[in-house]
Amino acid sequence: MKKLKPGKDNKEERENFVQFWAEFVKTHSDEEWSRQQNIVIDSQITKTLD
Amino acid sequence: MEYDKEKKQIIIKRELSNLDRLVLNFLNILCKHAEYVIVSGYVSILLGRARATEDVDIFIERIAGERFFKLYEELKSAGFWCLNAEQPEEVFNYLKEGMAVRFARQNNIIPNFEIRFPRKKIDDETFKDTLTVILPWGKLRISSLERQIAFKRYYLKSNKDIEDALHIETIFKEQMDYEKIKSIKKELDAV
Repeated sequence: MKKLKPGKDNKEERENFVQFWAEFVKTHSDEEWSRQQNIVIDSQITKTLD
Repeated sequence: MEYDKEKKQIIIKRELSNLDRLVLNFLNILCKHAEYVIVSGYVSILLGRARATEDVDIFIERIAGERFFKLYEELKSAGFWCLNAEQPEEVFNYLKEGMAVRFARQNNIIPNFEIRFPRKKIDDETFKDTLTVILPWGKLRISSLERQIAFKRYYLKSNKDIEDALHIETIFKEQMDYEKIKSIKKELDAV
């Protein structure tokens, strides 16, 4: 996997990261990327809501 | 993630998030009463985008009041409430007037489900251009990848939407129909 290229400004930095993460999703198992993604999503919503 | 363009389906063997579970619970009720299509932010999240969201945007087919009232009652019994009004007749009037209404879990405001009837021809077309996403514990219906990208990049255009489009495009670029994106963009330019 290619290294993350720092952006010249905030917009480019964000877009580079979005692409970097998307490449990770593309090249890794669903279990692996979703485990990491759920840390972000589940910090917002508790299990009691489902 | 396995995308089968011919079968119009994506299989994702992901660990379900609490948001996915909430969405599947809501859709299990909704699908008994109306055809639906999920559009916008949650689609990107379902496909791996690492961000949270306040709402899940859903088009539902135009249904008569009687059918809507049954849906409303079942949602209420299952522990959802409508943020816009208490009386189902009032909620239905909002929908009929082309406005969106939101449902959330009791005592919560976010995340919520923003549902609306299709208003324009381009909204109606969303129902004919869908994919089925198969998760370990359920299925759901989303608008096509090309439609997602066109809407987010050329119509909604916020930084978040542009990033969502970039995410989907990066993952599926080999299978993407760029002519279809151009054609949807043309329709959006005319809206």
